[in-house]
Amino acid sequence: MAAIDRMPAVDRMSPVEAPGMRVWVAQAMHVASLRYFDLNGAFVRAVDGALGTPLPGVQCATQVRPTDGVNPAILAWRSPTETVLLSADDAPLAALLTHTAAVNDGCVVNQTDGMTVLRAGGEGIADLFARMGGQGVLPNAGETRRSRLANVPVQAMQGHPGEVLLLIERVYAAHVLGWIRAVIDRGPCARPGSPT
Amino acid sequence: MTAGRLALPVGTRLDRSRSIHFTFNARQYSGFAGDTLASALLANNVRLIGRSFKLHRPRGMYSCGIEEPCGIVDLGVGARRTPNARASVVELQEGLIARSVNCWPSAQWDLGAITSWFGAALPAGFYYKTFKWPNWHWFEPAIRRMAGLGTGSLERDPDTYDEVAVNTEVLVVGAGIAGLGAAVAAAEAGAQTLLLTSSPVLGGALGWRSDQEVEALIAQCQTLGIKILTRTTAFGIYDHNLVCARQMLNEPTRVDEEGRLSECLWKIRARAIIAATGAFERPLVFPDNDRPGVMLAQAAEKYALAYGVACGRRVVIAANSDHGYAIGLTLRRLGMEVVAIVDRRPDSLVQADQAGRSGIVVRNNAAIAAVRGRRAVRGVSIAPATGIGQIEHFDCDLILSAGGFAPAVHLHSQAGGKLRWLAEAAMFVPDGVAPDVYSVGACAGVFARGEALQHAMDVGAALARPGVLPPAPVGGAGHALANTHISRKGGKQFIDLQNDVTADDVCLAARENYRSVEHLKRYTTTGMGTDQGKTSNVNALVLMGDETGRAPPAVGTTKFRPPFAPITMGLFAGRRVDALYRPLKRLPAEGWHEARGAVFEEYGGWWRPAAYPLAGESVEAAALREAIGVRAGAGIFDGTPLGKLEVFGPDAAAFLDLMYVGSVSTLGVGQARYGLLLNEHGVLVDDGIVARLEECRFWINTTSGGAERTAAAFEEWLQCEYIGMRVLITPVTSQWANVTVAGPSAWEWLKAAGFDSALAPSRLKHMSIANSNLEGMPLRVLRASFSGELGYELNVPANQGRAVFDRLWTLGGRFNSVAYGIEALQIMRIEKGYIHIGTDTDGTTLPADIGFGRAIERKIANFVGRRSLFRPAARDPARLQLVALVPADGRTLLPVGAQIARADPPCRTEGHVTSSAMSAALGRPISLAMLARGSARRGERVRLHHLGHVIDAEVVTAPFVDPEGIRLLGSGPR
Repeated sequence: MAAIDRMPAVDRMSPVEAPGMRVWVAQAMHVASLRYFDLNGAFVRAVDGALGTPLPGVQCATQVRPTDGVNPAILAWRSPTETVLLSADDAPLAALLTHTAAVNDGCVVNQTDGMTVLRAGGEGIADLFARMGGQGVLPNAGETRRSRLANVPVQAMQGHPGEVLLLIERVYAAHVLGWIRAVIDRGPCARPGSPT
Repeated sequence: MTAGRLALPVGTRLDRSRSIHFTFNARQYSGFAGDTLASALLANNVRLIGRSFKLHRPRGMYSCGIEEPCGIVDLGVGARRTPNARASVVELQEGLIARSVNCWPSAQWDLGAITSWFGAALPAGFYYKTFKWPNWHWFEPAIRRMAGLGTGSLERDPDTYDEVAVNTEVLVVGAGIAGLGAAVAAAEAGAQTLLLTSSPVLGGALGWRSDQEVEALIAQCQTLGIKILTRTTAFGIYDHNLVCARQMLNEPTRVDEEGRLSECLWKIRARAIIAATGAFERPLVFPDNDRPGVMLAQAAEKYALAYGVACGRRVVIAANSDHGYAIGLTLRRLGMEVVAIVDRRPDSLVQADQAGRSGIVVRNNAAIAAVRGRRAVRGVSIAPATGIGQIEHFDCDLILSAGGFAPAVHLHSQAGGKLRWLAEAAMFVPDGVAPDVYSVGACAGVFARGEALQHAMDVGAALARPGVLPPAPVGGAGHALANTHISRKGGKQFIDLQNDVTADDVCLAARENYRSVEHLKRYTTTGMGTDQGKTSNVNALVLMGDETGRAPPAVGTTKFRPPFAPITMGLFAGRRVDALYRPLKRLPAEGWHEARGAVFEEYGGWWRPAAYPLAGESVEAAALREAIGVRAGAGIFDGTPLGKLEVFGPDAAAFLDLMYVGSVSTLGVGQARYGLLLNEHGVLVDDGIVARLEECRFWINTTSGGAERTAAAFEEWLQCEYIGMRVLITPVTSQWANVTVAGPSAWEWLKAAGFDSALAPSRLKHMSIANSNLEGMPLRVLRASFSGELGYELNVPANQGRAVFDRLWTLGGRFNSVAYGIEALQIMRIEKGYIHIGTDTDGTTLPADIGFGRAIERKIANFVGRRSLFRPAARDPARLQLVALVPADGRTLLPVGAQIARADPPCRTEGHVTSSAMSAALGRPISLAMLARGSARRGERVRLHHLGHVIDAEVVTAPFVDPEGIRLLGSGPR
């Protein structure tokens, strides 16, 4: 097997850096799937009550009130019956669980341990994503996009300005980071023929 | 033999200040920067490049581009050896190593040339007829050794291959004058434009002529910021306007650093595609038209103008178009002696007069009747095309073939575009446009330069901002005859030079009624190989039409399929090698397993421990030790890969009743049940455990590899069939780590580690689930067992998985516990007779085949697949049924895959072994098998056949261990 496979498990998740680009695992992110049948139902109203903001529209992502002033929580549309919540602390998730406990037309599924959030920043990100098989992965502000990178499903949304958050199933995170390492080992940003 | 370099100032591609040294067939040569391998070889007067595919005839360069059928070489050495490169497109690099293909001991003296002595006995399809008796396979190895071209490397490819996915509004393929014009117009109109060319430079056929208009267009491309990819060949159009292109980043010729980036695969989604791929020159067909020194006229012109190479000094041009005259005059201007132009057409043309005035002998309505010379052309004989009249002889060393043009309609055709026959110019041109693919320039049949540029610019502008697309002003190629073959004995008249297909072969195919152009291709092999018939297809189908009394449009063309040009396998693989070969799912406690010395293997897409061998211990021995340890005390296993779904909603129970063979709605909260998942045909597709967490919330365990397909199946049924049901499916496999503890001491071990006493076997029964916690850590504990022992599946948040392993392991010594891997689990589940979906079952296995017939009979309510289970075929007692087997000698491990049959093969089989293991509990081999009428054959002796060996076995009753199921209840022996 290649070098990546000989890396200790912990190193596979270490940040990947190259000139003009950095990708790293966002630590301690809380992730939850909000599942519902009806956008006008009691569950969705309860979510609105808990977070103080309505669910985002199709392929949209909205920021929820800042929880620590640095890492605001994000609600991102995932499917017609699912919105995903990302937050840097557990307050929004706790509020959600409290507010939705009594309603039965939707549920909150904690995915904090099941999903890995990668942060990607720098001007080389578009090129990196293009070389990982992603067409149109880069979201604009307020957008969320589901696609595939490195042959695995990802959901992308904007974090801080100039930064993209990639939501990946935990079990694939090492694979995606391994692919990123393989790409930048060859210097994607400086290569002739890079897409513009 | 007089090929060589022309004097200055010709050679627009060359940098004569930089010499480049290379090796061909172990001899050192030099060329200049900008040369191709072909131009450098010709400049060094090397005209014999290799030997032909079937007859081992001497072959030289025939073209100057991607269509090259003869100039095939192997490049590089060792791991970087690349077979069947076309010398015409290989850019010369310092240290390049190339060698001829299909010859031994050398291209000059090739032993295989003996086959050409028997050429008459080797017509198309000869091996279909000749080697049928007594058995084709007797001859096949020798024929395969003799046939073929280059040889690939068996070593690991040291290069890496990149891929890029991009979107663009307008994609222009081809950077000749039409492509440049289209790109400029599209970009000027505001469209994001991407321009590809397979050449290192822009300009196409005019790029090497120092054309000012082309240079102005190139400058405009740069000014407008058009994205340009050189050395990039679009090789296929796929669904939804996906164009794939191969970009050469480095020639694979030199021993360089490991992992050097070699090629890039571009996956381009374009709103509109403009094909500006030009046209190939069509050769004429005449006797011995394959000799080194016979080549396409336009190629000779390009070698002269672009590379400063005279491919010969005395030239005879075989013409079927006006183009041949223009080339003759150009070559003459460059100092080459153009002896004669032999025009297949009867017409007398203006250019013929001009050539005649220049002292070139012009013969109309004439053809080349013979070529002198074997390894190089020495002269020609010219005869009237009618066959009646005087034969003239000319000394020459170069024969150029100017037979007209064949537009490169490949992309148009791949996209589903139709073709029409343009009789005057004897060529197929696009008939209208293909969906979202617009042809311009020569590939659209537009050969008049001014009209081609204007049309291309109009198309580019119209695609950039919605406008009316102008029709292609087809024409400008002049007049050409369709059939240039002459019926004359003596000398093979080659249609397809790469595959040694002659005019006689095509005629033979017609006589044997292989009239369809697709049959013609497969019978004669014309149009196959690395060139895919770019110089041969039109001649072949025209001749077939003549032989069968049909016009070319009635014969048609073969289907143009990707790839347009040969593609390396590495390009398709890209980065998907080694660890990135495909996404591997990683365990949260992988580090813990590594620290225990686990040997990892891939199972169902997961990278998981096979076993934990001690020093010097094999995986098999370790698995046996581990299984013994579990049955004797306790073991810890990482069951995280088990698929996990949460099913929520007021209709969840009713929905799961429909999905599973067993009833789910009768489960109380906290209860669990084994379930079989079927497809509409009643075939087993997955199994697992369904547990009720709350009234409206269920926990589903699927097989390790079955989570995605089960979730997808549930969604499909919900979205397409049971659309009124209010059910939500949420995959949570990654959310939970599964720490499985099994064995007679399992509970003592857990108790010692601080787990809640409510989990004791006396309180949490087998097939029950409970929410619990361990010092605040939430747990979902399922009492279930795949080992047959008292078992706990501790589902913990994935981030806590390793901590739970650590916590338990520190106490494990007290209970003689072991860590066990998937191989030990396999042993134990076979001992219990438990099936593994996909191992013991296949795409035909029904529930009754594995002993679940009663469950089907009991469940009256509907479920997916139920109807299919009541078809007569599903109830046939002769179906394959799951049985247990033991070897008759008690010692031989029954091989998985061994066929059960009463007689020696070939015969009808009665079944096969599906799982096999050395039993840890019994100390002897045991197996599971699918056997016809198996359930009625217990005690019967059967014969197994495996790789020439016969093994006797006996059908026995499963399970092999603990048939009463006492141990898994937690009340078995300690």
